[in-house]
Amino acid sequence: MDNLKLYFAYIGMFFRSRAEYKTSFFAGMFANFYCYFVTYTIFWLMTQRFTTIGGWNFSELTVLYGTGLLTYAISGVLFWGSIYFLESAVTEGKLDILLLRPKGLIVQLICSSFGYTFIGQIIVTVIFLCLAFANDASLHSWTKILYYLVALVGGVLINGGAVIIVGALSFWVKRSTQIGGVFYYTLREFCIYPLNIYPRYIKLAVTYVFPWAFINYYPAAVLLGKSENGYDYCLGLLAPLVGVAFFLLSLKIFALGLRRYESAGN
Amino acid sequence: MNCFGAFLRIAFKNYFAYRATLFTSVLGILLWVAIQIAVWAYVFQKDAQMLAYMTAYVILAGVLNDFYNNRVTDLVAEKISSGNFAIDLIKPVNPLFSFWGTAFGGTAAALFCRSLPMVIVYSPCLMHLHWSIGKILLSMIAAILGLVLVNLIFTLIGYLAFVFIEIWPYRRLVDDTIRLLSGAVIPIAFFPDWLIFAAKLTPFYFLYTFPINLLTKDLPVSEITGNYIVMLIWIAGLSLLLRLVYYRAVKYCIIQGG
Repeated sequence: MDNLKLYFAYIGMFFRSRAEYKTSFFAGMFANFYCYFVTYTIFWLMTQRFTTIGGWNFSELTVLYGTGLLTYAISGVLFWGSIYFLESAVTEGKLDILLLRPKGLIVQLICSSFGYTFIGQIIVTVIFLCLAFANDASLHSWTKILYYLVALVGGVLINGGAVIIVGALSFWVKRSTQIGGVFYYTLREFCIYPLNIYPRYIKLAVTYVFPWAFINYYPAAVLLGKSENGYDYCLGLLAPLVGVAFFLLSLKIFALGLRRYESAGN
Repeated sequence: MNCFGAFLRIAFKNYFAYRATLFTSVLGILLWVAIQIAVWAYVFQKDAQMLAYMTAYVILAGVLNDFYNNRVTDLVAEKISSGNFAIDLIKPVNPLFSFWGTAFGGTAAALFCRSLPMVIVYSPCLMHLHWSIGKILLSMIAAILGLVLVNLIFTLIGYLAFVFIEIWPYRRLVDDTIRLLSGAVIPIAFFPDWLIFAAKLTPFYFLYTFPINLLTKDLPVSEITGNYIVMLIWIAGLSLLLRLVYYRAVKYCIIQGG
């Protein structure tokens, strides 16, 4: 509860400081809104031309892509600004200041940065998701909505865990964002389309090596009744648990990395 | 010109400073192209000719993406927001030379270190193209004109730092508009008519589809000439605008400094 109070106190301070630069504040949010609006437009253009991709129409692709984007954006609000770029704090020795304070490092890092620009992509995604849900009568059931909400939490935890692992890698390799760029951002791109369009080894890679398919593909497949088989359906149901497990693993990796931390100041 | 070359060399060397970053960057572009090819391979699984065209399109668009992608906006904005823009005016080099030299150095390094390995890896997918020196030259001219266009646009955005604290949102807005209207992701021919019309009203229309089509198709001479002329008109207009903005910026700096 104390941590939550602290977080909201920091958010309050953040908004008061950003209120000094209103244009930049809104321009940043709008830029993110527009960026992802363009991506949805590209999906729309593709489906206008080819009707479906892998048997998924625009509305279904919106649920697939939107789930990934919404969970990424929510985790981005919390973790991205300070933890993904932990390498700069590690190499510049700024982490020492945080380590001297009587609060957990992750909590302090979360509090120290509020990813306000992600609000833009949350807004655009919620708009497109609401339209997709409204268009698809099969989604109008409380059980599906409840499952979707739980799956969203799982997705946020996987994205958050990935950001924490990328940040933690800087304890070993100093420069970790490029590694994150490839193994998190680029590999995750596979999951913006249905995985049935790729060779099978891609699906295995983003399921068992990197759990990115659990963020959006398996939950969306369950929700839309597009699981390829019973096994995929089970993986979809297990997605929230995978999220919890991956997040706990990321915290463990972060703690291991922190033990290796040597201050850059000495 | 010597100064320009020096800035270019420095930028090139900077690119090689972090080799692990370079390696992951190459891996990133290889994966990105693989994803795009996989998507088109599914979409055109029953149309081998279209699939070959789209595979070549994705690879060449990847090269052009590296060609056009540079940090000129950040370089200009950084100088302005730190106040170094005024100091640079004392130096016997036009600041635009340093911005463009550094930006082109980054572009050359990205082409050499990222695009070249990518083209080598995916070269079997480009073998079916009917290569000719003439086509390559025409395509290179179109790409170079595109690079000048992109640099003019992003330098102008950099000068917004005189007005705004943060300019990344404006750079990103233009980046995303280019992503949509230039054919960087989907060829413009796949767009509905109204969007093709909208794209043609912007300079972005010529950045990807035109140089790629020059290589992959036999375009009529009238279309090639027409597109070159329109690109040159855009370059002239934007150069004039940049000149006006630059002199206004210099004047503003003198007032602030005095």
